[in-house]
Amino acid sequence: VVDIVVFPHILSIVVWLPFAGSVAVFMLGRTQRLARNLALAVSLAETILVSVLLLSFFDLPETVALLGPLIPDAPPTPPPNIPLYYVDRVPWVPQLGWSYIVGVDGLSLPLLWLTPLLTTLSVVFHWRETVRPRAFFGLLLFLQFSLAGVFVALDFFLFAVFWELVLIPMFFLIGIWGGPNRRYAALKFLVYTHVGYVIMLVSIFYLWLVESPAANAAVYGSSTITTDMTAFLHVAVRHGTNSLVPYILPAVQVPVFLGFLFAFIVKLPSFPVHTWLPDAHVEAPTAGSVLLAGVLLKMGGYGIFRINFGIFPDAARELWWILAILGIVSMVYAAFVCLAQRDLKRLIAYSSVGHMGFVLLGAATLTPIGAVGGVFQLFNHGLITAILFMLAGSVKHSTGTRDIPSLQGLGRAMPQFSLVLIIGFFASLGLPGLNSFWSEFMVFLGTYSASNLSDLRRIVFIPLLSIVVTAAYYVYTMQRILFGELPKELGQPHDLPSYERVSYVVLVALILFVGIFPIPFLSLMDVFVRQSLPWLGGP
Amino acid sequence: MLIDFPILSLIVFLPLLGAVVTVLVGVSPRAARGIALVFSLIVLALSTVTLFGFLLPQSVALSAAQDGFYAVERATWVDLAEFRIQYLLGVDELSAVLVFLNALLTPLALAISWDERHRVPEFFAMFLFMEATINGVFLSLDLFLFIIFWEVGLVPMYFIIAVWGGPRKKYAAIKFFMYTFLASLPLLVAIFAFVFYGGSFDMIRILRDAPVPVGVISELMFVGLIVSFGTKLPTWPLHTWLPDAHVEAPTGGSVILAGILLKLGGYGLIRFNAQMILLPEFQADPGSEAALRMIGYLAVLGIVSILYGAFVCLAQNDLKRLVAFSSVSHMGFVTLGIAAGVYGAQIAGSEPGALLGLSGAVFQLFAHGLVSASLFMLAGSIGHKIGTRNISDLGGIAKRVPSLATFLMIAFLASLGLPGLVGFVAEFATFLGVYAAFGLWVFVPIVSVVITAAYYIWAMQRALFGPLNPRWEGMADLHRFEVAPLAVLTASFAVFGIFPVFFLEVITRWARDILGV
Repeated sequence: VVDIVVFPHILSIVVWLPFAGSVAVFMLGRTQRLARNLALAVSLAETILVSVLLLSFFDLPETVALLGPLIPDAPPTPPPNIPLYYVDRVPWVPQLGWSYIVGVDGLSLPLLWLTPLLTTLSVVFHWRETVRPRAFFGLLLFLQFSLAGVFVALDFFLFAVFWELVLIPMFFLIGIWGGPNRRYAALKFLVYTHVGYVIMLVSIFYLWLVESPAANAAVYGSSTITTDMTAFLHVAVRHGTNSLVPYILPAVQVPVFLGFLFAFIVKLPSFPVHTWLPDAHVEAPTAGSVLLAGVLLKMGGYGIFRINFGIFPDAARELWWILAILGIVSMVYAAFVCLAQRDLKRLIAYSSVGHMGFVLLGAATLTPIGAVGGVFQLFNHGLITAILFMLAGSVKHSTGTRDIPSLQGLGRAMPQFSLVLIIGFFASLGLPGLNSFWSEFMVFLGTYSASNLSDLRRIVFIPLLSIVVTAAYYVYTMQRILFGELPKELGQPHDLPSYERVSYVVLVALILFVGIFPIPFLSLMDVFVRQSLPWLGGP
Repeated sequence: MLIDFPILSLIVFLPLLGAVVTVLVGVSPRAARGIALVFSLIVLALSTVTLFGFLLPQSVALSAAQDGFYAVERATWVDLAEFRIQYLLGVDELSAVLVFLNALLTPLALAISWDERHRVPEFFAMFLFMEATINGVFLSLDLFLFIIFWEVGLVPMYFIIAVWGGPRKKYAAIKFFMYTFLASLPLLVAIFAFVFYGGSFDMIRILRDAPVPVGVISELMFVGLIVSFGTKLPTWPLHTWLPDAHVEAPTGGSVILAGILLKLGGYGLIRFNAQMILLPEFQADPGSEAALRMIGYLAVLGIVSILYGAFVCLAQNDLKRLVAFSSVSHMGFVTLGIAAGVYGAQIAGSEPGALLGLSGAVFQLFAHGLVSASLFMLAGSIGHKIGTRNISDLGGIAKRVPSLATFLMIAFLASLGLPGLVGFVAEFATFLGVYAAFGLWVFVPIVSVVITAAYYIWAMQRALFGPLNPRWEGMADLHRFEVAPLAVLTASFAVFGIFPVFFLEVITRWARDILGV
């Protein structure tokens, strides 16, 4: 295949640009102004770059002229293969089989797009950040770099490196700019995710040292050990569509699958390993929360679809029930816990646990529609939760508290804030016409129509009830915050400052746009599910 | 006149546009009111034209007919292999009548709220938003689109109650929201089932192909849909949100709530329960026991609602609560009429009665919309003027406020089914249908008419006649902005009461088509 991409290494530019930006901020950002302007410029440039990538997936003549036609990377052996685009390969340590491989497809691109978008909005939201601004904006860019790396890395070694790199900036963001209990929260966050990481490493080592020669030989014709994820992905899809193709034995897939799954559900997070999340969120600064909930959690969902489903079709067919139980318990449990929360940020954090339950349930249905719904839920939750955490930041800023019972009457005092809150809450509770209704509806429809798992059809009522509880806590909270008389203790809260308004306008516009025109994103994800997980929905 | 522009899209989205314009442009209350009223009148004109498409097809022709629906607009929205969603609107006789009712009551509700002082642009915008979602429910023929409008409609009504309501507005608003949200879950599951068995969200196809397997599944879906639509209607025992919502809602909100929002339940029972499940079940097996049981559910709920609502009314003191419970009773006629219509159509020889039963149910939706709107306007107006709506506190006010008393009297008489007024036609047709289908059981609803007459006349006596309570010496009579909508409604009682043939003919023709007799 002739490489006619005009920007041959566009994806590597996407990954390394924020790294360079981060270094630049650390070195040059002597004043607050300089640091933040530099951070804004870099994240904005990155957003534009990834937007161009996103557009290129719709075969517009303009992007074809700029980037060339979209051609998937093809291994030397005959198809079926999974389509991966803009792939960059550089051998790194050939003796050990480590390479630098990056690529995107319909699963990673929407999440990759969220990363610079939410970083940009976070920078704007923290326009007046005065506590060590150089380090703050530098770390934000570094976080953006490592997150982008996770979503595009197609080599297990590289993936693990980026996965671990993400922890560092987030640890410091919570530990330095966090609330009163920040040390405990930062450490808890680090320990939880690190334990998950170590268990994932065991699975990676097994694949690398034991299983990789066969996969490498089947796809690339060389039977050396390798950490090349694409070898596994290609051969898994061949095996998934035709069980005669030899592949890792199902009995072996199961434990390896579980090792990965553990790391991913800690990150997602799912009940019962979610307890780090509320603490981390309550203490984190707004930008930390936005990126934590908006993008970091999505690493877990991404991993489930990319690795658990992409590499272990047999194990996924076998162990779907674990995902289903975890998902349903998370949804129901989180919804009820939310009812009891007083801190607005804790409430939103727990609601994230519930919403990520949809991702697990969607995957568990083993139907294309459920899987598309799960992937779409990742994206939608990223947009909505960003708005919600910003709201929590704004209200704290303006009134000095996030305690729901002591907030009242903000409808009159902060009308713009209230309008955004109403939209954000209704979007999050899954109001039809807004973006997350699509994904939740598809997950439920997938659950109902999971034909090989007819038991699920009856279970659909349990998670459905959770959306009622979700509606209850959101409406109840909204009612308490917005209506009534403003208490004296809150003084005279100011409405949204102009720089915060910018972030809100962008996010609200996206929520409405995706709610009305979900097709650009849905079709990307649908193509991914159909081509990369073609065995879903089969017997 | 050939209607070749997308009239239904305009009917659905013009109010939405109006809501946005009202908020953005309506800087002064005056401007906001004017803009909102103009938009609602344009929608009224459009829906009148649509209705004339059925009343006088020779002079107004609706384009794009398909399987009994007209002015069909179809566009692909989302097109994945198993998830094909269309923007699909269409109108038939049933929805044309209800859309007309909605379009008629919205400007009247705006007029009765003319003196609202609090956040005027938002208030009027909410009514237009409400109108858009309700029209969307009546006109959308894609299940996904349907559920969007169905649930989004909760939002404006929630805010109308929560922001502009009475003293216990927060409680009433969240109760309304949670009740109806919870009740929409079975509808959601039923939609999953329709899509699963039919492979399509297209309601025209579902109505034509009847994909749901007869037996247990269809019966479960039927019961689930009764819960969803019965809560909205509301039918006993799912009605308890209604009195609270009404008591706390502002007058205009009550008008819309009772006048149209409840009709969504009736529409759903007819469109989904009867047309998509019950009738196909009978077609597949005329002696189906499941289908007979379904008829039984509807009939029992109808009868209990009729009697329960009527008896509870006897004990009410708050005028709004009284009217709210009378709505429960009157909506029972709808449920019973549907049961009678569908069942009667299966019995040889009683087809004419069956047609009347189903048509009576539809006409009852329309009639109750007009009458309850008027009653809630009057109850709200009394509360507004003297701070109480308790019947026992009133007394003799007819002397002080003759025009209010006159309107109230006529509305009471219309609601109790006085011949010559609109309610009589609906109830009488329903009775004939019930008699044709269930024989002497017709005495149960007839008894309720006696009770209804009793509580209304008793309330009238206590509130309007007798010696004037000296506290209300200074009570002011109706204002101009109140007289206008009430006059329109009262005139419509007479017009549709004396000349029901206009409508009834169209509705009966529709009933004949769907019942297949």
